[in-house]
Amino acid sequence: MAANDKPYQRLPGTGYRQVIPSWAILLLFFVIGIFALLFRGRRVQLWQGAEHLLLVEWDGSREYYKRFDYGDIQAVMVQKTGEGRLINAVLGVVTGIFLGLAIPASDIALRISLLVLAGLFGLILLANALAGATCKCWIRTAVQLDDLPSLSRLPRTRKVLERIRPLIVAAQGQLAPNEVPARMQEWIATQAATPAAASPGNARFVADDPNAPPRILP
Amino acid sequence: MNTLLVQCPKCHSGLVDGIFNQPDLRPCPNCGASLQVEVFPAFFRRISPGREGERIMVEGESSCFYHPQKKATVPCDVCGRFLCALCDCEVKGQHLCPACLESGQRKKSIRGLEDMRVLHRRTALLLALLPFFITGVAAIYLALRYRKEPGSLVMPMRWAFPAALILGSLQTAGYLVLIGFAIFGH
Repeated sequence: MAANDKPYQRLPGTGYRQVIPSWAILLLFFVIGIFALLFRGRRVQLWQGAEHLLLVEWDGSREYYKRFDYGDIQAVMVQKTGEGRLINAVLGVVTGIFLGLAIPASDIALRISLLVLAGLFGLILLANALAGATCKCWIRTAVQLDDLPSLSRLPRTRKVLERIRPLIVAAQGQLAPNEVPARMQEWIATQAATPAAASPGNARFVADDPNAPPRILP
Repeated sequence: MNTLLVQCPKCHSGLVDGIFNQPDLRPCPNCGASLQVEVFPAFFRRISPGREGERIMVEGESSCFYHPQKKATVPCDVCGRFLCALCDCEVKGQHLCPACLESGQRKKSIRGLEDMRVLHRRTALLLALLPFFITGVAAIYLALRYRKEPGSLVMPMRWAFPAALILGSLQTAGYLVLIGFAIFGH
């Protein structure tokens, strides 16, 4: 009963499928203030189900779902990015500027204000540094390559991988690192040798009308 | 998507040995981007070509509802129409015809195919929390109109409609009392 009540377990991480780049949101922040957050796009989270991984996107009033069956996941790719270091550098400079201005300030009120601002940016810097390196993550199946915006930090991504790996392995089995190159070579050779007729693109039917069943070509 | 190789997400060059299923990040041989790529056995699974319906050889054999010249292999589990191998869509062990599959997705009766839900529960609750007369009324309307609709797939929030109804009612009643007092109070 409890399992039916909660068929999914939340995986760490929340991201946004951005419609405009981060720097544009930052610029908009100076124009329209907090309302710039409305341009962040859909909120994305990953949920772990018994048979599939569920990607949930939320736009404020609707939820959109994408399911990745554990048996269908071909690969998970993670790329470390330098975004986190860049943010740290910018925050460090801003904190330094406020500290630099606060120290020689003679007015006590001004000094306190500048120190508060420096502390605020310092806290954000600390939080950003503690969250770890930034990354981008993709999941690949036979028919799609989807990015996972919720996995934007390396430690969090590794945590999520640790949780879903046993489920994928249970559904498909495991490949040892030294087994992959041989399988890859074998697979490429097989793909090259396979006649084009075997590919679904050459089948003798066509689904040209979404409201009708597939049409068999003569 | 190039299905032949796993590509580097930065330079799109095909990745080679020594980068797959490693415990830590490895540089892309082409662009140097730090990558961790986990490949699973499904990557090497061959995609079977789409099935085609068998032609009817013997007169009197049951034919597909959509393709009369093709042999029926299975009835649709929902409408009972005979289907050939091409029209048989298997979803979670059920054999469905394309029409039932589409209507099942539209009516949200096939759970595994549901790709979107409107979250009226959250909207009703949000409206009930806003301090305006019209939002209270709107919260009551949403809570009554969509009371039978399922909530989010991951966070159903079953308490949201009753809460919205109570808060919306209290808010509306409060405003009505205020309006009444303003008109008839003196």
